This record gives sequence, structure tokens and C-alpha cells, in this order.
Amino acid sequence: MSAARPTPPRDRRFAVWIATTALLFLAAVAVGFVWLPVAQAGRNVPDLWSAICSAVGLSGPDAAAPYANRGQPASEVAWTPATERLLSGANAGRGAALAAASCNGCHGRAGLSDDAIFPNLAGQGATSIYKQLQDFRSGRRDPAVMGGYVAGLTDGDVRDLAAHYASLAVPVVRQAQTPVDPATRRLVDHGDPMRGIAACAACHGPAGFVTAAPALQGQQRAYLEVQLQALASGARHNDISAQMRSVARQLTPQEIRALASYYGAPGP
Amino acid sequence: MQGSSKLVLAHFWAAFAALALAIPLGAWQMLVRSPLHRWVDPERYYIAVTAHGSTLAYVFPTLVAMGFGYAVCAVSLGRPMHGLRLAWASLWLVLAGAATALLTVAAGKATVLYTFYPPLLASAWYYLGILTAIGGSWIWVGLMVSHFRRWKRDHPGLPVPLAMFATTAAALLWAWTSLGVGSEIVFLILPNAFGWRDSIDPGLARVLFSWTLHGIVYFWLMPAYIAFYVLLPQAAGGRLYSDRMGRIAFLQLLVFSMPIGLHHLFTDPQVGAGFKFLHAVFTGMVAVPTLLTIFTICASLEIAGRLRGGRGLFGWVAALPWDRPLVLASGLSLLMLGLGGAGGLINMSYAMNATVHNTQFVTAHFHLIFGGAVVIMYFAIAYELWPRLTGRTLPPALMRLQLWTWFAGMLVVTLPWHVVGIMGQPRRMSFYDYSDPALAPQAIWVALSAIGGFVLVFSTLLLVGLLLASHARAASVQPPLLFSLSLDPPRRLPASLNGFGVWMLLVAALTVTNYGFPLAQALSVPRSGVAPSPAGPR
Repeated sequence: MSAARPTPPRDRRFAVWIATTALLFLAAVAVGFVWLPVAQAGRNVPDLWSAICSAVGLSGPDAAAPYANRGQPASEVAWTPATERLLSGANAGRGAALAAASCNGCHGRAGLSDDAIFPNLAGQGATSIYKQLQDFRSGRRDPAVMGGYVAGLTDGDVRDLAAHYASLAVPVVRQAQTPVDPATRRLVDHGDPMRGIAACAACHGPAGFVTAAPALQGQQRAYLEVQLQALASGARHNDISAQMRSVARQLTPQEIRALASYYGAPGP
Repeated sequence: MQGSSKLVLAHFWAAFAALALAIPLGAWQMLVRSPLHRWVDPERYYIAVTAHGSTLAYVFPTLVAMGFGYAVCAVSLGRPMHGLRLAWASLWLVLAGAATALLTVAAGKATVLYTFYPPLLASAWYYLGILTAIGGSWIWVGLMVSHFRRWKRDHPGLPVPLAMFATTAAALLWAWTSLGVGSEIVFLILPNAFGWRDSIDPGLARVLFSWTLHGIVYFWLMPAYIAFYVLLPQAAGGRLYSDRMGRIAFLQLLVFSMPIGLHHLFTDPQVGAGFKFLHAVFTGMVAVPTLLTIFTICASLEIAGRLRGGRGLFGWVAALPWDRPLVLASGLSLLMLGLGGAGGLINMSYAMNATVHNTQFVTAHFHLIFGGAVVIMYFAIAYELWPRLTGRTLPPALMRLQLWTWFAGMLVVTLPWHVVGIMGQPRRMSFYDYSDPALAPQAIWVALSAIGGFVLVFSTLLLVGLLLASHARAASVQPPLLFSLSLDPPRRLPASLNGFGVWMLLVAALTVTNYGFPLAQALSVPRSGVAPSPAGPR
């Protein structure tokens, strides 16, 4: 009975459609990979082959030329998987022993310093402490005071110290709330977009925290003021991509004082 | 319905339960980021966004497509379905996966939005839930393809009914397009979520996700298009203008809706500009089946309007039975499709996209197209199926009210939203300071838009209420569901319009040509991984 089975009509559609699609593809390739890159690049692209390479997403032959690195990086710390792996193996107990030997004198046994010019370290994020110590070691942050203390540290020591301070309890000290003036509150919560100032709270808490940005609530007031001034003048320059320098430069001395007082006041 | 009524009904109820959960979350988000409300904890906001997006992207439309697919399969092939147990198992898998993912989101462990955005990393349970739901839907794909093949085998030389042909196209599209997100989860995200690896390549992950990101949109659209072709002409009292044109449109959707996803990555640095252009050109091709569909549907409606006594150039429009829910919903849907399509042309243009990229314009666009044009057809499909599934009728005036409020709510939500996007407001943020002079002009539009969200909540509650109340009514005998007849019912069809074999090869070939190099490039770049960043409060 197989003869009764109707044969489907001859079908040219496959060939027509596939050829049309192929033509469309070739036309799009010709325009997108040859004509457009050449037309758009103007004199910046030396030859056709480089233009095609750039459209494909490959660096052309001249991109292989060594990049002249004139400036100095702000910091040698990078948040790569390797750094994360290093930090994940921290031993806070060993960090405590190291701190007892050389840190506690100024930063306090509980990570709370007695002198307003030395920062409190208790409860600070491990990434923040790790980055600052490494920057002192490499000289990216002015080692005038800290240099002698960090000179003998290894990467592992720095990591363990960071974990030790991160593990210390943050003191909860509540005082009578002094009223915060609305302009300062606004800088903290919203920043000032028209001056390119991001909200402090977005990276330094309480709204949000990002890697290596220190938590500021309860920090020493005088320390904060000095650091903001140093960032504004460029004396301190270990902030990657000048993230803090570009903010601090926009602040007036009065605003710097007000912000230092705001974060320097204990408790939210 | 060939013994599958319960199955179809269960799918629609599960889908609408998911909708009823997700819509109030959406309205809440619009409210709390508007000037009508004070700011909320961003974590809570992103929990709501992730729950809303995951439910409405992976669960709700998938369940509607599956349920409608079973209905089409049973009615159009006109014989009992096989594999009903598998079908139930697939439904349970989708539900279990959805519940796992949503509970993880509710616990605050997966605030990564439905598009994941590596190196953001959620709890592994979230991804496992999504993967299970997608896996469940693959059983449906298998069942659709197997019914299609068996019917063809038993009816050699006869054309597969258009409804089943289109449903199989939708199933194949979903199978192919979900491979992207599936491999992103399996090969990149889960090894990190389990802690086996500590680096993830965001560029590669985004290219893989884009593989899914546009095909999934057309998968959502398919039930609406199928309803346009096989339900609307019948409901309007006319005939489908062309059966063949329908097949051509569905084949083009199958071929062109996947190898175009890079148009979501126009500002991503890891893809060459040439490939972005190539994908923009192929995205333009998707306009062809859409325009074919609009032409065919308008022609079919004109036949119906003239049969009902409409005269003159536009008199047939007024003569259409606009009081029937399916006709009304289709009209409203086509209006929203037209508006949203115009916005889509801006998004897909490599150059124009730069002006609206990652602004609220994009969010407004996909809410208008999917939430508006497509979802209103899901409602209409449910209204059309309900009497056949339950033996109970629904009150026509309330159905019309529900469709009108959905349409009005969606326009009030999305039109100001587009405006705010053009004013430059970025998307995916939990709060905006409207007291800032730079943002103040956006406040009134955002407030308007938020009000629309509550109209949509009302419409959703009305839908669920209507359907719930129907179960309390007495059942009666209902006329069977009939699919539209076409003006020229095909007796024999060329192989190209009656099967998918060669077309799937073309899909694979286009995937290789349009995605092969960008994927290979992303895979071969050394040290492109970064440390994953766990989502949630720190």
C-alpha cells in the first residue's frame, strides 16, 4: 500500500529561504565588519585588516605594541581571585599575637585608640585593613609613621592582622544625639550629584559597604579630618582611580569638619 | 478536552497564582521608588524585584505556554494525549523549582534579579530551583514534539493542524533558547555557588545569557500569536486569511528570534562591534513575521467585519464583535504591540540604543510588550478555554472590565515610564532623590506610573476572583472549542511548511555563525574571571 502514500509536492522553499538567509548574513557581515569600521574609523585605522580586526573584537597588529606606562598605580592591591583566596585563609588568632607585639601601643588592645589622631581598628572590614597595610608596605601610602611597623610583615602577617581587627567587637557607645545639620546629613545620605560627590553612606555605611572601603561610624574625629584634608590636597593618594581624592577635592573645609564630626560621633 | 482538561486547568491555575503573587510585588516596587513613599531598605527592594522577575519570566509564561500547548494538542489533533503522567510530573517539577527559587529569594539569599548579573552570586538553591523549573518545562517540549511526530506518522502527507504546528515551533524555540541560560548556570554559576571555583567570567556569562534573553521573549509571545491565528478569527465570526502565511510567520520566529540576542549587549566591551551590528540586522528580520502576522490578522478581522455587515474602508472595524473578550483583548493587544514595537525599534538600533541603554525606557518597553500585549492575550486565552475546561461560563461584563483595566493600567504604568527613561533615569535602582534639582522633573511621571501599578493589582484580583467564582457556579454543557478555519484550508503542504527538520539545522547554523566567534573569544581570553560577589546584606 506504500504506493498510496502521497508524495509531498516538490519544495523549493528550503533552498530559497536558506539562500536568502545566507545572503542577508553575508551582506550584514560586509557592512558590519568591513564597510562600517572603515567608514567610522577615518584615519585612525591604518589599514583594512586592522579595521576588520577591531570589528571582530580582536586587537589589531599595532595594538600589540607595548603600552607605555608612565604613571604609577595608586595601589598595588587588586581584588583578584588570588587576593580573595589569600584572605580566605586568614588566622585571626595569629593576627592577635602579632598585634600585641607592635600595634596595640597606638591602636589599643581592643582596637580602640586613646589618641584621636590614630584610627580605631576594631570591627573594621578585613579588606580595608589589608589594603592600607599593603599600601604602607609598598609606600603607596605615606609610610612616615607606619613604615617602621610594617616593614617586617609578610603578606600572611598582613592578612592575619586584618582578620584579627575585623573580628574585634565594635563598641556600641550611645551618647545624647546632637542634632545633625541638614546639609551634612544630605552629603552623607545623598551626596551632591551636581558636584560629582557620591553619598558617603553608599560605600562607608550605614547604607552600604563595598570592598576595601572602611566603615566610618565611630572612627576618630581628628583622624577623619586629617585624612580628608590629605586626600583633598593629594598628599594621600593611595585611593584606586582617585575615587576619594575626586570627592575630597570638592568638599569645603567646613564640610570636611562637619563630616568628620558626623562619623566621629559614636553610634548611629 | 480528550481527558486533559484537568491538566490544562492545573497549569492555568498555577500560572495565575504565580501572577497574583508577582503583580502586587511589582506595584509595591513602583510605589516605594516613587516620590509617593519614603525609601525602603534596598535589600527588601531587590528581594521584591528578584521574586517579581523570576516568577514572571520563568514561571508564569512557561506555565501558560505549557497549559495552552496541551489544550492545543488535545483539540487540534483530536485524539487522546499520551504521556499524561509525564505531563503532570513536568508540572510538579516546574512548581517545585519555582517554590525552591522563590523561598531562597524570600530568605534574602538571592537578590540577583532574574538575569543573575555575575559576578553577583546567589545561594545555589536559587539557581537549582530555576534549573529544575526549566528542566520540568523540557518534558513539555518532549511531549509536544512527540505528539507532533506521532500524528505526522499516522497521517502521512496530511498537513499538521496550524495550531499544533505553531505550538511545536514554540516548544522547539524554548528548547534551543533555554540552552544558553542552562549552560550559564551549570558551567559558570553553580561551580561558584557550590564553592568549587572562586572566579567567574562576567563577559562569557552575559553572552550565554543573551542566547536565552531574546528567544525567551518570543517564547512568551508565542501563545499570544497562536491565539491570534487559531482563536481570534473564529471568535470574531470569520475565517483565517491564510493558513500558509501563519506557518511562514511561525517558522521565521523560530529561525530568527534566537541568533539576535547580542542586541542586549550593545554596550558590553567583550563583544566586537561587528557582531553587534550583525545581531541588530537579524533583529530587524523579526519584524517580518510580526508584520506578516499583523497583516494576516487584520485581513482575517476584515473578513469577519464584512461578513457581519461592515461596509466601506473602515466600517468593518466597527462591525466587529468587540464585546467578545478574545476580540477585545486582541484589539487592545495589537495597540500595545504597535506602541511597544515602535519603542523596540529604538532599542534594537545599534546607534539609537545608546541614548536609552539601561534607562527606564527599556524596562517600560518590555513591560508594555510582554506585560501588556502578551499577557492580556493570556487572559483572553484563559477566558476562551475556561468554559470548556470547567463547564462553567464567566460573566462577560466583568471579563471586559478586567481586560480594560489591565490595558488602562498598563498604559498608565508604561507611558510615563518611557518618558522617565528618555529623561535619563537609570533602571534597577531602589531609590531616587527627587528633591535633587536634576531629578525633580521626573517625579510627577514616576508618581503617575506608580498609580497605574495599583490599577493592575485591581485587574489581577478581578481575574482571580472571576475564575475562582466560576467554580462555585453550576456546570452546564458547553460548545466544544473550535479552531479557526482558514479561507484556503491546505489539503497538502510542501515539506517546508509541515515540519521542522531542515529549519532546526538553519537555527543551528545561524547560532554558529552569529554566536560561535563571540563565545569562542570569551572562552579563550585568559584571566578574564573575577571573584564572585555574594548577594545580600554585608
